[in-house]
Amino acid sequence: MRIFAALLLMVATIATAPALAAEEARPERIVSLNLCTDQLLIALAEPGRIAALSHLSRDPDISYYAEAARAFPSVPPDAHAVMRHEPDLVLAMQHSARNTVALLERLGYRVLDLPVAERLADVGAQIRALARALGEVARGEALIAEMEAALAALDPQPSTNQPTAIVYQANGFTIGAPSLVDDLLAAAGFHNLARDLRLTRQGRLPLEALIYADPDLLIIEEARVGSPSLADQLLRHPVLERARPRSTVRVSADLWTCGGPFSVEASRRLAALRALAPWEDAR
Amino acid sequence: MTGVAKTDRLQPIALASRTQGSWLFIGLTLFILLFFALSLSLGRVPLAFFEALGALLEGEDTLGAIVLYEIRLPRALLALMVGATLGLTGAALQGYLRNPLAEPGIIGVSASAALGSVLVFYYGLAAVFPLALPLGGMAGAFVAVLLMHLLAGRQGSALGLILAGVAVNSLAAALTALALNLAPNPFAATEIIFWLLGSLADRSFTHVALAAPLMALGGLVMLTLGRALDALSLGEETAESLGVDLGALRLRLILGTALGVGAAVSVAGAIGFVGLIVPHLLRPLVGHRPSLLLPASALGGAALTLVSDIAVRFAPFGPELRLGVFTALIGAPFFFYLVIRLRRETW
Amino acid sequence: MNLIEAEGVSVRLGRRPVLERVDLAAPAGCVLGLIGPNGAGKTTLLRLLARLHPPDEGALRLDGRPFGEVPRRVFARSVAYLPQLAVLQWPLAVERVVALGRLPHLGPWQRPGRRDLEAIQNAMEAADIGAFATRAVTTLSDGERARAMIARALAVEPRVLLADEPVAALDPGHQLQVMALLRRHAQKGGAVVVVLHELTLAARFCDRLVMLHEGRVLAEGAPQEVLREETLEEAFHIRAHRGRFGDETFVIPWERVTTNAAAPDINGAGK
Repeated sequence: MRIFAALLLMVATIATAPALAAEEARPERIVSLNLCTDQLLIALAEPGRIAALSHLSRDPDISYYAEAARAFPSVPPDAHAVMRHEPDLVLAMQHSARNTVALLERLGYRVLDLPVAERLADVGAQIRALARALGEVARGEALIAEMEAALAALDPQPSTNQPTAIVYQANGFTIGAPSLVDDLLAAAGFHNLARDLRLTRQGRLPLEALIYADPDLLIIEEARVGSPSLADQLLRHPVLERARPRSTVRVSADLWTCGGPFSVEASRRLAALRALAPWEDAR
Repeated sequence: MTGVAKTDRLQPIALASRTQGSWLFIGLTLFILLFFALSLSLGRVPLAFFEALGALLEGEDTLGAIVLYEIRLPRALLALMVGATLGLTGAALQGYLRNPLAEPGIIGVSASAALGSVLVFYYGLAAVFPLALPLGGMAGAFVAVLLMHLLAGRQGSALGLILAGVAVNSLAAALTALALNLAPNPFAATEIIFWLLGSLADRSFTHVALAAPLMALGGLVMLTLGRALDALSLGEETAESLGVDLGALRLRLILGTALGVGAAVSVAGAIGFVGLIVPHLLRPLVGHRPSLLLPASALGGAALTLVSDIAVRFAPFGPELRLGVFTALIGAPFFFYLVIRLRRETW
Repeated sequence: MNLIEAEGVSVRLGRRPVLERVDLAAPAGCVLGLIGPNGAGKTTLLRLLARLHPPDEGALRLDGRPFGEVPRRVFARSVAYLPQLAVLQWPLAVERVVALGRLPHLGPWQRPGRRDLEAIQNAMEAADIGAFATRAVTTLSDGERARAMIARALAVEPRVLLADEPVAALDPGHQLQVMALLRRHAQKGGAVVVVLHELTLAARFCDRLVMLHEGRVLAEGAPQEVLREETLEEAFHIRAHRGRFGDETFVIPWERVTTNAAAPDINGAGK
């Protein structure tokens, strides 16, 4: 019965699909399926053009614009749910929601599949690509210029004698290089110690190894304060407070889970910390 | 003739000797001390043990001292106490049910304790009120011991007990998976492996402080059962005629099990088979006496868990193994062996 | 003075009466035999006396005191119970099993003292099991095990010994040995209540017999008064050869009767 109804709906939607005409038109009903495209969309588009966002966009622990996202309907990564919003543009990010994206493309929907921002430099390209699809080129360029200006203002010290830092995430993961976070650390003037441990991108770092790595700054990526898990409980292990009592900082994950204009904020806060602390003494 | 008899009279053969099992207890204690020290000195990073220990004793905050005190010491302490609790509970349950297959893991007590812990942990109660964590585990364990009584009965056959255990275990595991899937934290669903297989990695003194007093209390309750369990080896009626209050015995056993296993599982997950293997290996060494088997199994359980917890740190690849993986690898074949032997004897 | 007595005790299992207003009294020095066909309620009555089961009606007294007033440990020291089937879960050493008889005398953490060791040794000697004191009980023959269990009960040094078919499955030699043990316990001032199926042994060793039939006392008194033609026929549906050997009465069950017709006198040596 249900399947039959779903089939009917599918046929009906195909018949009325606004597929071909939308090629050059300015999209007015945009659905985003990914946390990172959600945030870029909020940064670039008028609220009236956003039809729906992924449910993760409302999670304040990982979404910088969580509050703004609450104004929009949330949509699960499911083709039928997306179709119900009659979108004229669907935003997705490579490697996620593949089945949904494939199905939507087959049904004739216009899908913009942005590449993942592996480095800080990719964020600009992402913004530019999305701005063009939205017809907001000027706004996109302005955002990029703003980001670059903010980065330039950080003015990292010469690369010798940089203080070291390690990011510690839920489940004991740390972030190596190349990565967005590694770039943000560098922009703030820190040397990512995970590089020396030969960890690429994400790797698990046993707690003991973390303490022994002895970074100048321990950056604990805090998430999920409200809902407990063992993965997050590790980040509250008492040893983390004892090993580096004066140079442990908790950073909210929403700043760098995705690349965006807001990511620079992470570097700015870290740079401020670097300016404050007497790193030579700490060594 | 009568003279010879007279001299014999006051020397009942082994009864008067106070040394039965002494060597076993001394040996087990030495073994535990050795592996406790090894547990402190071996880990993911090479640590100059004596140097770190020296620094720790002098109150210096070297990295070694911090790792030793904050990471390895709580881990070793928990291995000791969780293992002792599991060994002791296994021996007590086997003595009470007079069934060599009784064990907190097999009869579903551990899995139910895990369910109780999961419910209070992932839905935020333990964050507000830390003691809720072991209390949740205890509630789960309590329900399971009670269920086991209802399902398998006190005179239940070995088979009936195992079947009841299968039912309780499956139900508890299914509900645990459900609870974790519905939990608000996205990591929760992946953490079922901890609750079903157990681990002592990255535990802290917070966990020791929460669980150790309750485990100690449960252990004390169970250690008082020795005499009654001895009497029970002649059957319930004889035991009762010897002055054993079966109702009180049952209550103490259930309370002790709930306290000990509930607290242990709430901080370490369900570690299987320790309570099965240990009493079995030690029983002949204490002359099969349940009263001696209780303390011996506590020591043996601590020893086995310490050894297992060291072994899992040296998995040849990837992150360290779950403790329950290791104990199941050595425990399950043991279980097979016991089942085959029981079949030959009774079924 | 009766060491142990039951007065008008009734037990019902659901609606079925198992025992109906049964009286029984065993004074010091008495071996009291409980006889009757299967299902007559003998074991139930013994369990009542051992305080393992409460009666639905009636009173039970130990040494004149109602059971309810006797503390658990005092009762356990005074009354030893030997169940019909020996349960032996673990291969404990024989002397360990016997030593369990001392439990009611020991405080929670008290070790057996000199007095306890003596009692254990006495019990083992009385039951003649010294030869295998250190063997595992599970390796014993039926006869050896029965004696070990009796030694366990004797080690309690009880005033009342309750034994449920202690000689079942024993050969005649061991049957006589066990019955003699019970007699000796009575001679020392204790009381024994023993369930027996062997009418010959019952007549030979018991001072008094209580014959139960369908939950009621059919006959009670000295063996020759209880083991009469009518009672044997009503309770067991048997005819028996009865006679005397010196002072002792003996009964040899001879044939089963299926009709209610009066049995011809087949006793060559009738009274």
